[in-house]
Amino acid sequence: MMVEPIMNIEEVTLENVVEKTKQFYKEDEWNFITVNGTDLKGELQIDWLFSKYNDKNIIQIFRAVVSFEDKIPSIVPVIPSAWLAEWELGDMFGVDVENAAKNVFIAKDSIQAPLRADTKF
Amino acid sequence: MGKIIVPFGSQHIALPEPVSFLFETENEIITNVEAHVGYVHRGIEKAAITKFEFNQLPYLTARVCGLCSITHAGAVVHGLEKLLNIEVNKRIDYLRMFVVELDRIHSHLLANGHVAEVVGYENLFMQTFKIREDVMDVLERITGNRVQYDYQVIGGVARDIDSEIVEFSKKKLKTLKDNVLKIMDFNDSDYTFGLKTKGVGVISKEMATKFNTAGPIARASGFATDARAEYDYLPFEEVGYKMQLRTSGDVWARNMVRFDEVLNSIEMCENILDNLPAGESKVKVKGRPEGEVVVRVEAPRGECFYYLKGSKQKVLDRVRIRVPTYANIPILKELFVGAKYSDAQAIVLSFDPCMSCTAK
Amino acid sequence: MLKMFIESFKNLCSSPETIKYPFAESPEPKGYRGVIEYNEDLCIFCDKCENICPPGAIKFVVSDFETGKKEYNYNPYLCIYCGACVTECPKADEGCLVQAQTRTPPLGRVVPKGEKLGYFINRIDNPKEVESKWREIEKLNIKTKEEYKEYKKQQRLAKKKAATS
Repeated sequence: MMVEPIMNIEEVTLENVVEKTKQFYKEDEWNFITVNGTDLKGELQIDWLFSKYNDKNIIQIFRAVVSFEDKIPSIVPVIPSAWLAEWELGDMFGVDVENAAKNVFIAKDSIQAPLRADTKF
Repeated sequence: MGKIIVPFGSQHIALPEPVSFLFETENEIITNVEAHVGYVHRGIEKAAITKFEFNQLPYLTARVCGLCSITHAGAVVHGLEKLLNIEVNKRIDYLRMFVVELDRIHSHLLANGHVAEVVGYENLFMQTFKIREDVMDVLERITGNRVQYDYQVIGGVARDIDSEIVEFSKKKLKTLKDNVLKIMDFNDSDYTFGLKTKGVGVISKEMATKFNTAGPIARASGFATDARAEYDYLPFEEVGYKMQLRTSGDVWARNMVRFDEVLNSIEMCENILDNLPAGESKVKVKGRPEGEVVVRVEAPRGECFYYLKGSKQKVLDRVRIRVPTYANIPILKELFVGAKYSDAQAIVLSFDPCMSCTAK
Repeated sequence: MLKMFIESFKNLCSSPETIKYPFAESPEPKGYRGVIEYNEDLCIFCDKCENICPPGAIKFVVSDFETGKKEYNYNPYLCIYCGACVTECPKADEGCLVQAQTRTPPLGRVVPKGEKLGYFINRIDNPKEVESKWREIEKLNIKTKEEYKEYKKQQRLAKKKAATS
């Protein structure tokens, strides 16, 4: 029988996401997958995705809806391998992420912030 | 003492991938690393939400990478079938598993051959590539092509197999198994090869857990994680899948884990060919995708993750890809500090990097 | 190390694994994915193959507005040989669209010719003009499709007027 995992979505704000991650994350139980952004035609929806080791049933998602001018905090003090995903989020959508280097994936003389819905080619 | 910055650059004679590392060295010991990964960015995520309709997506995402092309196509097909509410029958599952395991065999043999070449043992590299040709013959007979298969479509597979192809594959798999045991013996018992690979680039189990590694790198340090056991997308336990683990965590242990997986995959392929159920090879497809779904599949290099979101139109809203090499770059930066400069190429190639997947 | 020495000596006295390609033949294996061939007499002009092609290598140009007849144009240098058009064609069993097992020669000094390859490739002689002429066909495709839709709308309005009056 194929087991279908349940997506457990929890709403957070930009102020309390680092606190909630610190209380929730344990190293040998939960696996950090990535940080993802979706353009909702004027707003940005950010997801932090986690899965559980040796358990097929659950995927945990922290979701926040922000605007394009907000400053996004970094969860690197809690999870040390999250810096690459945050740099890509900042490059692709043109948002400001704390302690991120710029122009890692997109060169300086090309079209900036390509994944926004109003950037046309 | 002065510091010298040495580029292990994007053009290098021992590096088959376009990645660039800048090492700050002091007396041949590395003290700091800076990495550049975005050389082959082609904008596939943007093309998937503007220019291509949802039934052309498996052909687009298969061309993200050359060696793991069938896992990218398989993940998109699995996600779209969930969004369209389509069920496939058992024969389609077994045919898909057969080609996925053959792809894993040829990718692991290529990785082991490259580690031997970079260390200096070119004879072993040539022998490994000679025995890899048997797998490419079987794949060419089934799908028509050696590297880009275009085999998984929404609702089934592109071609069916008959009894002549089954006989041909069984003969080739038997020669392949004898040859792989011979090459594994060469890797195991050779004295000079052991001096260059044992004890080099050691990852302990605590370090692998802290940095969330994936794939054969984690399994070579004793950390038991595999997407075939943590997400149900194909019936792997029915045909004899077992997780392979080693404990030393150095370059030699990563090679041995790949050979163990190759032997397990050959056994799985023989079980599939003996027990193929009857049925159709394509199922009818109707409707448009709506909702959001999360898919995790096991590529030869680790766990590959997809997130799809649609809203009842012909073009999807968001396609997000995270590949296993992307998850292993942070720990690669940590491993270099404190190692000798002449071991850098063996460490990079034992991670089996795939840069065209990373900078999509 | 001794085992590898013995293996190398055995390889010295056996036949080589490779074939000398330009001087020996290299035939296509069974089940090869080759070039797409088209039969005009059986086609019903449903446009399904054009809608599914991922790189856009098949384009139809409307040539006759009264009967709805279209011309088939195929670019073998843009095609990825996936076979999706053959799967979608409703008349594929009778032989309207078939994937053969031959290779397309590389774009060098000559352009391949053949009756089953469509109108575009049979009208070109110089390999340097393939790309620019294909851009013109893409523009013609969009233009004639708009005109055909306008024409059919006028026909429907005229018929409705004639039926009510």
